[in-house]
Amino acid sequence: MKILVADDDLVFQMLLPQMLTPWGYEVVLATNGNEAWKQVRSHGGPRLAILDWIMPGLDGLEVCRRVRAERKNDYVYILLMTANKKSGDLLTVMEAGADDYVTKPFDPEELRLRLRAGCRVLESEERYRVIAQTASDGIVTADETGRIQFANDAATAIFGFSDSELLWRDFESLAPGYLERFACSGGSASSPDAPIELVGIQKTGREMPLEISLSECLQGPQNHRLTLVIRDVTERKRTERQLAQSQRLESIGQLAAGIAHEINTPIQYIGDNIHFLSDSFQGLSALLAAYRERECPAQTAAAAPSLNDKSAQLLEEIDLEYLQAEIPKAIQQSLEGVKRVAEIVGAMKELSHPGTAAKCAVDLNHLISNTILVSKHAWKLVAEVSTDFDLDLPTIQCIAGDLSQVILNLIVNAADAIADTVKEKGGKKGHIGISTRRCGDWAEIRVSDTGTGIPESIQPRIFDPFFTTKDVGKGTGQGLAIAHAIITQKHQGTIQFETQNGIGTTFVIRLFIDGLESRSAESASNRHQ
Amino acid sequence: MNQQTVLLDNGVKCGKQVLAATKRVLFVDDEQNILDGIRRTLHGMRTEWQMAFSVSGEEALRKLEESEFDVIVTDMRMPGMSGSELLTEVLQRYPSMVRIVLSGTVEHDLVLRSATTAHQYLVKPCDAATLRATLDTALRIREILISPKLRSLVSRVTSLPSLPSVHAKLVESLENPEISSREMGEIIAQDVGMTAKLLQLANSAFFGLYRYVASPSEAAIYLGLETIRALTLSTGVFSVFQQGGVAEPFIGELQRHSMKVGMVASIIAKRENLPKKICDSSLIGGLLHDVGKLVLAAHCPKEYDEVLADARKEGVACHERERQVFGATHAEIGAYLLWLWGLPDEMCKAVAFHHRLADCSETSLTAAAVIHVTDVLEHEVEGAPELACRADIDMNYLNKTALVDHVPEWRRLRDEFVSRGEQA
Repeated sequence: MKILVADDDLVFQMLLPQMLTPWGYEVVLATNGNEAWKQVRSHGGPRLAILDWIMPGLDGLEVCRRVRAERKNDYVYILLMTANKKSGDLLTVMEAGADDYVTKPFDPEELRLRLRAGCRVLESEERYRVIAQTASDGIVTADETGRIQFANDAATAIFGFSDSELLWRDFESLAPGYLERFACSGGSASSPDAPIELVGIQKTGREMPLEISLSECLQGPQNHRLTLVIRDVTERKRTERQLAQSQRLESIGQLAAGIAHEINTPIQYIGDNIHFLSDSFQGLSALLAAYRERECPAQTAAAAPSLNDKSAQLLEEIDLEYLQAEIPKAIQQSLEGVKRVAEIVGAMKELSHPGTAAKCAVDLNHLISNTILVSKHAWKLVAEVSTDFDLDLPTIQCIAGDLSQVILNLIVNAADAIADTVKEKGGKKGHIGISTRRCGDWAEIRVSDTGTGIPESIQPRIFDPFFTTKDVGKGTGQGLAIAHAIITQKHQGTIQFETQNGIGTTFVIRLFIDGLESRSAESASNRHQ
Repeated sequence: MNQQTVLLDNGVKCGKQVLAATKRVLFVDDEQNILDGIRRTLHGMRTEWQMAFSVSGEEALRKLEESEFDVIVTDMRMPGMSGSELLTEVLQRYPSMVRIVLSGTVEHDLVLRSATTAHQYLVKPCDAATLRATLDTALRIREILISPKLRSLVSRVTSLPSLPSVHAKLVESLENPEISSREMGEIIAQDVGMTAKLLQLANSAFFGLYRYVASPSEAAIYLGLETIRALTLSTGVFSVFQQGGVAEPFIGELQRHSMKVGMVASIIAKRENLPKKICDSSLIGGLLHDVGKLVLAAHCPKEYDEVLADARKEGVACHERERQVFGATHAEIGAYLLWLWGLPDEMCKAVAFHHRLADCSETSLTAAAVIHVTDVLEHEVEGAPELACRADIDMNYLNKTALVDHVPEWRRLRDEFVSRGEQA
């Protein structure tokens, strides 16, 4: 290990190297303070230094102060030497930032041991420095005012500043609002493992999503230090967006097939009925014409009997009684069908309204009714759906498309869970119940089914991305993960479930009525109950 | 033949003993409004057809127990028993019935699941005219095949046996990521059974083609690789002829003969400047003209072996012997199957009448006539004893159409094709 020896005394300039070299040190000599300072600052310079207090130019104390002020990343272990021992020296030396101190003349054995202690400190320092430097997350330490004292390579890469540019910079300028966010998330000391997400700013001014965790440690009465671990989550956010998008497309795709079917049915009978009405009208017209002709015979009275025959024959041909009974029904059923198509199309239009990422006032009951309607194809063969709405429920600030997607996912899951039991119960349909109610500042949506229930073994995993119990090709395992993200992250609400094997499952969603970001303790992460 | 002849649509006569009793159709759909709509729109047919309506598969089966029906038209997605489950039951219990699906579903796998049980596939919304025409054909074709036993036999056919070598080639081609659907169509075109099945699906309304698909490669392009892959791999759609069976040489001979007749018939049709529809029907009708033999060989192998042996021994044409034994020839049996499967009318007629030009009232050259002539011309050179096919060109008919002097030219075209084949 390199060691700097700075002393203006020729005796010590000779004596110290003679002692230090056999102990395994590589000695770098300086004959005055300025030279010593130059050596310490040089790239790859010594990390261990023995400085004489009294020297021409900069004295040992001054070198010590400068090192502490400027060199943050590579620690230099400093041992100060004084010729005479006075009371108060220790205090002065330590205040200047020295690590240790010996008085001349010294016992060589004592010096050897003291230097060894210094080496241990440096080794330990080096170990943690290497860990910090090689970490792929950015690691920054800052003083109590937020000024950066240390930043690893990853941190410089994230922010685009060089190491020296980052030093002493206020972290607030890189991640505005981070302290308030940590204060809001319940105190960093109590849950140092709960990272926050916020927008960071690069040197170029480009913004990027960051995930930051913070820990504070108290080092002595004033030395209150922050350690921040920073992760650039641009890539992850992009993947999450793509995933959410593909899940949305997946559910819309499944929906589209179902909706096509739901629309085809009324179109089929509307078409048939209109065809029937058209035929009927022709028959009726012919009959009317025949009657009119009989009423006002054109010229000869002789034709009258044949006209009677003609109308009687027509009457039988067109089956007037049948027409009188069926025409009103055909009209009524066609109108019903048209209404059904209009409802489906209307609901679909609201549901798939694209690109509205902004929150707006939404009538939850209406949104749920629409979602039930467009998902009819998914449940109608296996379940009856009933609703129990709180009609006084105020509107909620939320992203309507996202919330519909959550309800849709829950309905589809409920129908799937019921489908598994329908065969066992001899084809008897199950039941999906959806209710809304107000609980204080919260709006609560409950979606319950009489399906198989969620086995205990998988309960903790149901909100995990890609976790699915459905057959390959049937689901990607994104439904509940996305639902969880939409409710807890985009709406700061909660989603929980109650389940009993063989009885069914109820999902409970709670949304804050003001739609403001709520900090209620409930919203934290009590996901699995 | 002591049969009366009645007209089966435009001018084509066919043998028929008794006018069939009232024709009965059963409609099944879980939506009452759909059934009401169909009942009303088909009200005009009430004197000709008896129609019954059921709101579930279970109820339909009860109705079928009570009385006889000729055709069933069912929805697919229903609570309880699904349409494909219902058709599977019907296939087993009442095999002679014509099984038609009328569904609004757009899910391919649901349709492929019924590819073996349903004869035809209609999609909602289906207009009244299409529904009526489909039912009309389904009810009329019974007149082609009078024996209920034969009708059951054909109606039960869910797939036709393919040559193991061609089937293997198709399966192998699935491994090739570079293959185009046209190339797969060309492989399928080498096999009578697979061609028929492919055209059944391509002409079904489900695949949304709503057009006349005449060639296997065209069909393959429309259906797309994914669907063909699914068809090839799903059980029972394409089946392989039992290797080493007694009839294997016969099947091989039949496939080769069919390919040649199809090719030469289309060459002749083109030379005669016939309309495209007739040229197409000559090609595919030619390829499929002996599909009835395939049905007989696969489903009554013992009887059919005897028929062929007797025909060879007595020196008569096999279709004559077929009529004596089964009461119908392979031409009618094949045509009945193709009609059931909803193949274009022209093609079915060409197959039906290729041995009975006398029953056609037409005086122009039809696809049936082209196939008839090509069939005979091919046998002149093939001399394939396995097929026991001896017949002469129907000169009466050719006289009527005033084309007798074209025969030498047709023979030349055939020779040209044969020598080209030998060179290749």
